[in-house]
Amino acid sequence: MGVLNSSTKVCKSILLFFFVLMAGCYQQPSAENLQYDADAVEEIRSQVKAMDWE
Amino acid sequence: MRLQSKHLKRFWPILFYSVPVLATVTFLMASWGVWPFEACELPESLSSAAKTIDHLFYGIHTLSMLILLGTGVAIGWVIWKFDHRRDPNRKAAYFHHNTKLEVLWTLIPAGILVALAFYQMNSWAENKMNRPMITDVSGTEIPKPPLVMVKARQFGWEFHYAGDDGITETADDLYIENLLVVPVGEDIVLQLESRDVIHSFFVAELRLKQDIVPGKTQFAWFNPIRPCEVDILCTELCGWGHYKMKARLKVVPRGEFDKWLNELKQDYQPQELACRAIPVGEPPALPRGGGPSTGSVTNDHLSVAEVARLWTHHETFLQSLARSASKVPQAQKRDREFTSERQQP
Amino acid sequence: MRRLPDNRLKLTAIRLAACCLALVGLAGCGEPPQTVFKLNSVELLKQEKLFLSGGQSFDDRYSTEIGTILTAFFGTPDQPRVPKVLPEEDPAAEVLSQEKLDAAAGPVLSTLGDNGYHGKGLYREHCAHCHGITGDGAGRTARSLNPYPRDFRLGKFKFKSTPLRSMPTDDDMMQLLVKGVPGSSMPSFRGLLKSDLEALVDYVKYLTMRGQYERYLMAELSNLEEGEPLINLTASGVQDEDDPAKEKYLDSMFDLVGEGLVEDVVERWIDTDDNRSEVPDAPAAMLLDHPDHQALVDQGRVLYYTGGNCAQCHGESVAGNGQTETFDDWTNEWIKSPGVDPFAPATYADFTAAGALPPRPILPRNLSSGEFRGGGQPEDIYLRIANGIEGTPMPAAATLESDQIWALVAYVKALPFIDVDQRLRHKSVNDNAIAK
Repeated sequence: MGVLNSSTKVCKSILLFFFVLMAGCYQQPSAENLQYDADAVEEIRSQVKAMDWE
Repeated sequence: MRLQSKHLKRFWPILFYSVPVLATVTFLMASWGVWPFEACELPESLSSAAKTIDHLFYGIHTLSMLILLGTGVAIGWVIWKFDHRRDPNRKAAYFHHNTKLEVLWTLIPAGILVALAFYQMNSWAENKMNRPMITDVSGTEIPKPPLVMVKARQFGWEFHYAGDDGITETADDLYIENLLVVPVGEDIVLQLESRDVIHSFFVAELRLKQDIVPGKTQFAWFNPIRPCEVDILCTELCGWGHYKMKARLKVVPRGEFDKWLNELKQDYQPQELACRAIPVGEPPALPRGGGPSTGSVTNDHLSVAEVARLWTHHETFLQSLARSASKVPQAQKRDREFTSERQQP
Repeated sequence: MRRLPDNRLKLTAIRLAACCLALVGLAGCGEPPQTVFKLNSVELLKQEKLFLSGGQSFDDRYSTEIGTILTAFFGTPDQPRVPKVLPEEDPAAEVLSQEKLDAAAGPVLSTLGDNGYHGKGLYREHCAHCHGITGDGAGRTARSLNPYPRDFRLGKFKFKSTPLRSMPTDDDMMQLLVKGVPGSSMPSFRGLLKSDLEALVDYVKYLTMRGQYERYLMAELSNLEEGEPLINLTASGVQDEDDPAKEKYLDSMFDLVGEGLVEDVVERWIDTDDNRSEVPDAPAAMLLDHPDHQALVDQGRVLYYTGGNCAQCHGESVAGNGQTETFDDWTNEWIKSPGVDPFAPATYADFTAAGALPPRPILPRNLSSGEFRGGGQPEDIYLRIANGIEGTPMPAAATLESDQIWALVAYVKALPFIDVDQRLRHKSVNDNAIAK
């Protein structure tokens, strides 16, 4: 029984290790990130270039 | 088939014995700088104290190596010789406590430890207890005052140079971050303090390592033997930025040091005054103290050479201490009291 | 003994679960997602609270449009752009160098590159940990630091040689990197190559401009009609100059780009050296061993309690305990929003959810500590008193003469070496002197 208990403990610590590993890999939710429209970005760049700023 | 299974039976003793074998091989390779352990020896020493420390280090290293080799061989011999499968009929002997053996293996390590303790005593006293002494005007030996107060903080090093008065923690201290410049060939005393948590001042090339405990003032000293530029590291895990807590130590000739300190001092003078030429050849004014200054308006600026002279010979050190007694920080007061106590038989 | 099989079953289950978790965990580490800037959600929430009624929020299209406009001019964290607008002689090109931005941006690659910089990704190696990828002062360690790391996006810098409301010089920023900020968590980066530091200065300026422009765009949102975009790109093709859509498009280009980006953001960073405040000559008595030095310190002491009015905030014992319930501008930015009480966490839960750090009052400096965040040299302290400190309640000393300021500098420099009892006696000494 003692052996079994100790291996349960080992398994638990392995689990904990993976939990910590996952916590380290946590990425920020994408909602916080800046959304942009890649086509519109190019559009604005070309339009700014085409503008007559005088 | 039979051969194979016989070898398989040896699997566990071989596996376990591979640990001391690997350790011994690594140890020997590192000792002789065999690939891939070429750079395992201590870095080139730059301090006069390094000789005895290295001597101790390599002595203990050799001793440990001999013990490791001895125990490794003994364990190997026992694992092999008394393997159950070599002689299945042999019964394991069950015994406990052998007074002779126990006395032996207690006394031998104890003897080694005591011998080491005596052997290292001088070196320890030299590097951690007996601060370099200087003689003041009255002929009394006093501990050399610190050149720099080192304040460790998360995550950097502050160096407060004692200004003209040669005393740290006064209004004329000069401050710089992450750069320590000291003159070569002189006893350099550092006053170590922490602003927040425990740090540790470590310069491998000087064989100098000193923990810095918040609320405590400690002193460390060294005597650099040649000009160099090395890193100062924090060797106490002090927070997330521990890895970047690094400063530069520059050892330069005295003249260059004076020039550098003077430049630093110019930074701490208001611009208009800093530009004014420093009078040469004038008698030096007494270091600033509690009483009225003897310097005139044009001669109120001690040249660095003069300060250096004052600093080196400490002709007026005690005098200035007495004059600014109210301003002497607690740490130095304590330190002086401690020294006078210690000197009495 | 009967329980043994049960346990075995459990063990197997746990092992299986561990394997699954390991797979999931490793998968999470496999593909690093593309690094992007963060939207200034706190500012957006503030604008919503100010201009929209009853908990309404701006259309999500606006956040995307702001992201698009910002990306068009400033690029991404991996590919930053100097926000150039004009084909030639663009002001932004005077302020930022693309080469330096490239050295500071991108993922960390810390080997000495052939471009003279220490590889790439300098900002992420040395700064992003606290200041965040976006320069929002909300990196991973930010929450545990006091004071919080600087949020560059407001365009306010504390320690500079220029007056309030003007941008710091490159040299100011360089000095700050080299010396660090004693008393805060900002370390000194003296060990870095000079070229690396220069690249970092440019990158911080870049992040600041980007943040300033983002806030400008967000402030524009309240002027828009329902559903109207910031820039109506579809109208650009219209040839007729009198078409109202085309007119609006041209207006928005001139307003948002010409005025908003070029004039309000980029041009404020041009020739910052010219704005540098003059530090007048110091009286000779500033020298520590000058016979009149003590008299100058005494004059400073009187000013501390009277003309300079320093004691009101820094306290009568100079321990920085006078005014302890004010906030700095970075916090005031959002705690002044309707319904927010900085001392009642429930009233600002939506702001902290949007990424704001819990507000902390700003404490006046304890002048007896001997630590001066903006530098301990007499000129540094002179500038702090004469110009005030941007973003904090420390005002510019408008009513003091330069000699009076020097006297205060002398007093402030002397304070760490005057013991507490004596300092506390100063107040009564002064009061008596005034009464007479």
